[in-house]
Amino acid sequence: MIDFALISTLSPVFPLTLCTVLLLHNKQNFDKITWIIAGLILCSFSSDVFTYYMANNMISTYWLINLYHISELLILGVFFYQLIPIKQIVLSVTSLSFFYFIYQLVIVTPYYYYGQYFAIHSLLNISFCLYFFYHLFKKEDVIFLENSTTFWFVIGLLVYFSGSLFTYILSKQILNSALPYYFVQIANTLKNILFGIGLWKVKKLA
Amino acid sequence: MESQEASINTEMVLILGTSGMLLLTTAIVMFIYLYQRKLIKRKLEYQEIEDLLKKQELQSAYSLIEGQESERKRIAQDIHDSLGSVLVTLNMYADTLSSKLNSGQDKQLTKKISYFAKQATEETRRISHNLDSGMLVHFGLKAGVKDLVDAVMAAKSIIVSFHADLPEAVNQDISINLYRIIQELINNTLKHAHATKINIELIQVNVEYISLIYEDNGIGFDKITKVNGIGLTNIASRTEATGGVLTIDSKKDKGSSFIIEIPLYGKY
Repeated sequence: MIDFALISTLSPVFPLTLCTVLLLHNKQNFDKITWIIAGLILCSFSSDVFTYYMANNMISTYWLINLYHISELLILGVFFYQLIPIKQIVLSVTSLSFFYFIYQLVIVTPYYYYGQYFAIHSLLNISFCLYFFYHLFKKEDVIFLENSTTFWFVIGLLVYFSGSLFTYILSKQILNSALPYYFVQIANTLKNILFGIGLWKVKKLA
Repeated sequence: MESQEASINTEMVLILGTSGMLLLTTAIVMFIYLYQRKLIKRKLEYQEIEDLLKKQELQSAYSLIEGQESERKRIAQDIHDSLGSVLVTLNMYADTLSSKLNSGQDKQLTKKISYFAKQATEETRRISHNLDSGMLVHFGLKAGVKDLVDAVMAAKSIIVSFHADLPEAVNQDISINLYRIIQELINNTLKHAHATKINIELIQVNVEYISLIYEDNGIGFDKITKVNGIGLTNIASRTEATGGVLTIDSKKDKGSSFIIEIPLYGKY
C-alpha cells in the first residue's frame, strides 16, 4: 500500500532544496512572490512533519492543522494581495476569514476539524486563482506563460485547493468512517511539484 | 448495511467530485495556456506583416531615390553635352566675330554676347555639376562637399564652415546619400532659415560610423509641424536607407541642428 501521507509529507523537500540553492547562489532573483511561496512551503513542511509524527503516535493533530490553516490563510492573503488587482476584496475577505476562524478557535475549541470552513477557504482561493488567470488573460503581456514562475505557483495552488475541496466538504463523513483522506495528500504532493517547477523557472531565469 | 451504502455513496461523491475539480482545473489551465499561445501566434503574424509592409515601403523609397539619382545623372549629362557644347560654340563664334569686326560699337556688342555666353556656360556647368556631383564620384565625399560649400559661399552671402575627418574611401552609397542630405540641408537653410552661418562637420567615429553634424543660426522651425515636409522626409529616407539615425534639434529663433550617424558596416 502506498503511503500517501509520507509522500505528501516529504514532497516539499524538492522545492525546499531549490529554495536553498537559489538563496545560496541567486538571492537577487528571489522576488516578493517567491519569498511568500518559500514561506508557505516551509510552513506546510514543518506542519506536515509534526502532523505525521503526532498521528503515528496517536496524538490529536487538530490544533496543529488549525494553526497551519491560519498561517496558510495569512500567507495566501499576502500572496494574492501582491498578485491580483482587486486588493481591497482580498484584504477584506482574508481579514473576515481570519477573525472568524480565530473566533472559532478561541471561543469554540481549537481541538476540532473545521472542514466546512476549510472548504470555504478553498473556494475563496480557487476564485482568486481563477481571477489571476482572468487578469493574465486580459492583460496579454506575458508572452511565454510556461516561463512565468507565478503561473506555476498559481497552478499549484489551484490544483491543491481543487483536489482538497471535496475532502473538506465531506470531512465529517470521512472522519467518522474509513473513507480515504489521500486526495488532500495527492493534491499537496502535486502542489509541491508545481511549486518546484516554478522555483526551477526562477533558477533558469538566473 | 444502510451505513455501508451511505459510506460508499460518500466515497463516490468524494472521488467523482475531486476528480471533477481536478479535471476542471486542468481544462482551465490548458485553455488559458493554449489560447494565450494562439494569441501570441496571431500577434507574431501581425508583426511579420507589419515588418513586411515596412520593408516594402523602404524598398519603394530606395527605388525612388535610385530613380531620382539616375534621372539627375541623365539630365546633368544632357545639359552638359548638348546645351553646354552649344554655349561653348556660341562663345567661340562671338569671339571670332569680335576679332573680325572693326566698328567699336559692334565689337562691344559681340564682347557682351561672348561674356553672357561664358556666364551661361558657367551656369550650365554649375547646374550639371550640382545634379550629377561628378566631383563626389571622382574625388570622394570630402572633396564633393568642399566643392558644394565653395559653390554656396561664392553664390550667396552666407559663411559656411566645413570640417571633415573621414577615411580614405567611403562607400559610394553612403557618400551619395550624405552628399544629397547635405545638399538638401543647405537648400533648406538658404530657402527658409534666413541664416548667416552654417557649420558642417563630417567625422568618422572610431571605425564604426560616420557622424554628420549640420548646424545653422537661422530662425529654426517647429519640429512637430515641419518634420513631415518633403525635404526633411527625403533626409529621413536617405538616413534610413543607409541604416543611420537622424536627430533633429530646432527651436524658434535659435537655429537648427541635425546629427546623422551612419554605420560604416551594416545597419544599427
